[in-house]
Amino acid sequence: MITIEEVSKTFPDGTEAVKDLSLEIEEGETVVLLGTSGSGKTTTMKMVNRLIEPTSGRISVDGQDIMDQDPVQLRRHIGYAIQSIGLFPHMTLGENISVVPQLLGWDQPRTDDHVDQLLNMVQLEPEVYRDRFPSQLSGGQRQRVGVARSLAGDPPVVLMDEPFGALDPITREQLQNEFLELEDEIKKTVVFVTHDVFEAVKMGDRIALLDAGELQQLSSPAELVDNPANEFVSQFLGQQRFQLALVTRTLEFLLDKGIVERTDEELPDGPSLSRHDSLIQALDRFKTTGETVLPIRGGGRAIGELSKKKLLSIIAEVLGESGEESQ
Amino acid sequence: MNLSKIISDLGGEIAFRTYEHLFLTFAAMLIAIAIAVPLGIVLARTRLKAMPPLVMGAAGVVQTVPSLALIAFIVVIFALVTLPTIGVVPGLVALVLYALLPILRNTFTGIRQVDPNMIEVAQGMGMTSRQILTSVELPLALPVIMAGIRISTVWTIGVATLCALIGAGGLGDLILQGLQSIQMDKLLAGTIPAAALALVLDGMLSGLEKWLTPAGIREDEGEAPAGDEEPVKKKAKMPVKTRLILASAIVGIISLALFLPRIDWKGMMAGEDQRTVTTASGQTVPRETLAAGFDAEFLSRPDGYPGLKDHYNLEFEEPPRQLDPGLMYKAAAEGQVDVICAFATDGRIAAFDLTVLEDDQSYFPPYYAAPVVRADTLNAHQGLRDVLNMLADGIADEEMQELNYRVDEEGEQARAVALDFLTQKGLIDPGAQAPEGTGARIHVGGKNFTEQIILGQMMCLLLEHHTNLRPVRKLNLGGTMVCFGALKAGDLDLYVEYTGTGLVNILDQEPISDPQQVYDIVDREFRQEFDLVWLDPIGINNTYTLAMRTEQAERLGIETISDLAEYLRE
Ligand SMILES: Nc1ncnc2c1ncn2[C@@H]1O[C@H](COP(=O)(O)OP(=O)(O)OP(=O)(O)O)[C@@H](O)[C@H]1O
Ligand SMILES: [Mg+2]
Repeated sequence: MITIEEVSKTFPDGTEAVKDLSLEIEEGETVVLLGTSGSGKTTTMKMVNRLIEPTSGRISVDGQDIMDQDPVQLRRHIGYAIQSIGLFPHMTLGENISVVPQLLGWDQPRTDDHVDQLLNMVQLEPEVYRDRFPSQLSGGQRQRVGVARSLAGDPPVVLMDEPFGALDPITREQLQNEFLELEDEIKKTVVFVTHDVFEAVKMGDRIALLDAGELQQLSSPAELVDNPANEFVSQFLGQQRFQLALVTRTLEFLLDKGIVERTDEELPDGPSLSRHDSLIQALDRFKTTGETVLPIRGGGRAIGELSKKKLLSIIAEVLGESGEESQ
Repeated sequence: MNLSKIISDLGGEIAFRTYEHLFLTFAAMLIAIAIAVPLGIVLARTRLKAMPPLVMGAAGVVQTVPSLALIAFIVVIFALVTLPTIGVVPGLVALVLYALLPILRNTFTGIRQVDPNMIEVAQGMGMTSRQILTSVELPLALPVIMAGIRISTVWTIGVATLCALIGAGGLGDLILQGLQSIQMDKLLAGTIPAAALALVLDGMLSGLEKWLTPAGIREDEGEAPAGDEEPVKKKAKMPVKTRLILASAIVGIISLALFLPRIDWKGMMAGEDQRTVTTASGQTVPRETLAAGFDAEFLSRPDGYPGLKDHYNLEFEEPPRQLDPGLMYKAAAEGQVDVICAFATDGRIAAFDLTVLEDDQSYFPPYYAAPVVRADTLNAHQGLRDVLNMLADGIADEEMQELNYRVDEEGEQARAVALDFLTQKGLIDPGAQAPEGTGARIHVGGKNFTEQIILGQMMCLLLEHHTNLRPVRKLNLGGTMVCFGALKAGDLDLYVEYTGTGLVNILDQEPISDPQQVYDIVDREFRQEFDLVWLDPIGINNTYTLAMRTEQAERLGIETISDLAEYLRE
C-alpha cells in the first residue's frame, strides 16, 4: 500500500533526519515508527503526505508515486492526526470533523451522518458533543476527536503522530484499546508514530525501529523483543525487554517450546484461554474468572491446559531473566 | 455657559460638524482597512523576510510624525504636485496614513501568531493555501485585527479635529473657533461630541469584535466544564462568515448614508437643470453653486461672518468651510472655493487675480492699524511713544499689500522685508547696525498672520535702532483674544491692533463706519477700562472684505456683497 524506497531527507540546515530508509507497508497493516526523540519518525511520516518532500528516494501510495500527484488531492485521501492534536479552536467538533468531507465535496446530509458515526466510533455521544468547542473538552476527549477527525472522509491510509501523547496512563490505555477495536472494524493502513515501546508493541502489526534517521529493525513486536537485530535494539529495549516479553509472548509460544504440554481434547463449557493470549492477558483471565486452571483453546478444541500457579512461575522466570542479566 | 444654551445656539452647527466628522472618520477607516488588511495578510504570508520589517518600519515612521506636521506635509506636497491642498481630499489622505499602522500591525501579528500546528494540520488535511487563510488564519486572527481597527478609529476621531485646519470640516472647526475667540461654548461644542463619538464608536466596535470572535476562542466561554452528561443547549448560532457579511453590510449601509449627502447631485444634474439667474445688471447667467471658505477668526468674531450674514441676509448653500488663512487665497484662486474672506491689505488679492466685493452697506467697520501699548510701559520709558509713532501714517494700503506679498508668496523673511521698508522710508539709516541694547525688555506681540508679523518686526526694529530697549518678539500668537489677553495681563507690552477689531471684538460694541469716531472710542475706552493706549494709526486700513475670482465675479455679475446675497437667494 505504501512503499518507501531508499528515501533520505536532509534539511536545508544540513540535518540528516532520515537516511536511506526502505519500508513497505501492506494494506490494512499498522506499522509503528518507533524511536527516541529526534530519530526521524515525524519526518518519515510527513514525507508520506508530502508535508515534507524527500531529498532522494521514492515513495508511492497504492502504487502511485506521490511526487506525481497534486499534494492537496493526495492529502485529502490520507488521514492525519498530529502530536499536539491540533483541533481548530474556532470550530465545533462537528465542524472540525467535517473539514475533509467538505473538502472532498460531500453533501451536507452525508457529512452529518459521517460526523455522527465517527463521534460514536470514538465513544462521544453526537447529540452532546457535536456542537461543542475543543476548549470545552477534556484532554482525552480531544485526543478522541483528533482520531475521529483523521478518519473523516474514509481515507484508506491514516498517519498518526503520537495521537495518544500527553495523557495519563489509564486514559491512554483505554484509548489504545478503543483504537485497536476500531481498527479491527475499519481495517485501515496505519502509520503510527510513537516513542513509547509498550505502545508500539501493543498497537503495531510490525514495528520499524529508527535511530538517527536509520532503520535498525523492522519486524513483528515478538520478534523485536525476542531477537533484537543489533546492539542498538537491545539497548533501546533495555530492562523493559522482559516486561515486554509478557506482552509479546503468547500461550502458543509456550506450547511450541513444550513448556506447556500440547493436547487435543473436547473444549469444555465455561471460561478458557486463547492460544493468542499474551502472558499478561492470561494472568488477567485468571483474575477475572477466579479459576485456578483454564483450558487453552485453538481451532475450537482444547489444545492444552494451564494452571495459574504454572503461569505465575513462567512469568517469574521471564522476569527472572532480567534479574540474572543484571547480576 | 450652560449646556442647554450651547445646544440651542449651536445645535445645528454641532449636528452638521458631527456629521462631517463621522464622514471623515468612516471614509478614512474604510480606505485604511481596505489597504492595511490585505497588505498585512500579504506581509504575514510572504516568504521575503526583508519585506515585513520594511513596510512596518515605513508605517511606523509615518506614525511618529506629529499629526499636525503630517497634515502640513501633505498640504505642501500636494501643492507641489498641484493636487487640491484644502478640503476633504488632503484631510483624508492624512487620516488614512495615520490610521494604517495599527491595522497593519495587528493584521500582521494576528496572522503570524496563529499556532503553526494549526496551519500544518490544515495543510495535512488537504486545504489549499487560500482555504487555510479564510478558514483558519483569518478567523483566528479576527479578534486581533478588530482590536487594531478599534485603536485606529479612536485615533482617527482625534486626528480628524486637525483636518479643520485645511477645510475638511468636522468638529475641529468648532474647536478652532473656540480657540480663536477664547469662547468656552464653542470649545465644548466641538470637544464633547468628539469625545462622545470616540466613546460610542469604540464601544460599538468592541461589541462587534466580541460578536465576530468565533465562539470557541471567546475568552468568556472558553473553559466551560466538560461534564459528559450535561448536554449543551442547542442555540441557533450564526457562523462567523455570516456574521462578517452581516457586519460588512451594516457598515456599508452606514457608509452609504454618510456618503450620499456628500454627492453633488445638483452638479451631476446640471445638464438638465439649467437654472439661471438674472444679475443686478440685468444679464441672465447660469446659476452656480458658490462655496465659501473663511478662516476660523472670521467665522467666530461678531464683526465677521455671523454679523455679515445677518446684515446682508447672506445664505450659502453649504455652511462655509473653515480654512487656514494661509491657504484661503490659493484655494480661491484654484477654484476649490469661490468666496473667501480677505484682508484689504493682503498682497495675494491682486496677485491671485481676485476681486474684492464692495461693502456697499458699510457693514465692516474701519480697521485702521495702530500700536496699542500698556500705559505703564509708556510711562516707564521716556521717548518710547515718539519712536513707535515714527510710523504714524507711514504705510499705504498698496505698500502693505506689496510687503505682505513678498513674505507670503516670494518667501522673503518678514524681518528683512520690514528692515528694507524702514530703510527706504529713511526711518533707519542704511547699513546701520542696531546697537546692542542694554535697557529693559519690551515684549512685542503679533497675531499669527503675515501682516502682523511684519508690523511687529517694524516695531522691534525701530526700538532696536532708536532706543536701548531690548524688544522680545512674540510675533505668532493665536489671534486677537490671545494677543489682547496677554497685553492686558502684562505678558506683552505692545502689539499692533486694528480699530474695528478693538471696537467690535474687544469692546463688544456695534460697528460704526466713521474711522475717526471709531479711533476715538477705542482710545478712550481702552485707557479707561484697561489702562492701554492707542498710538497714532500707521495708515493702513486692513478691513475685512469678501473676495472672489475676478473672472467668476464678472461672469456672474457680482460686484458688491449685496449682489452676492441677491445671487445666492435666487
Ligand atoms: N524543518 C526542519 N529543519 C531542520 N531540521 C529539522 C526540521 N524538522 C526536523 N528536523 C530535525 O530532524 C531530526 C528528526 O526530527 P523528527 O521531527 O523527525 O524527530 P522525531 O523522531 O519525530 O522526534 P520526536 O519524538 O521528538 O517528535 C531532528 O534532529 C530534528 O531536529
Ligand atoms: Mg515527532
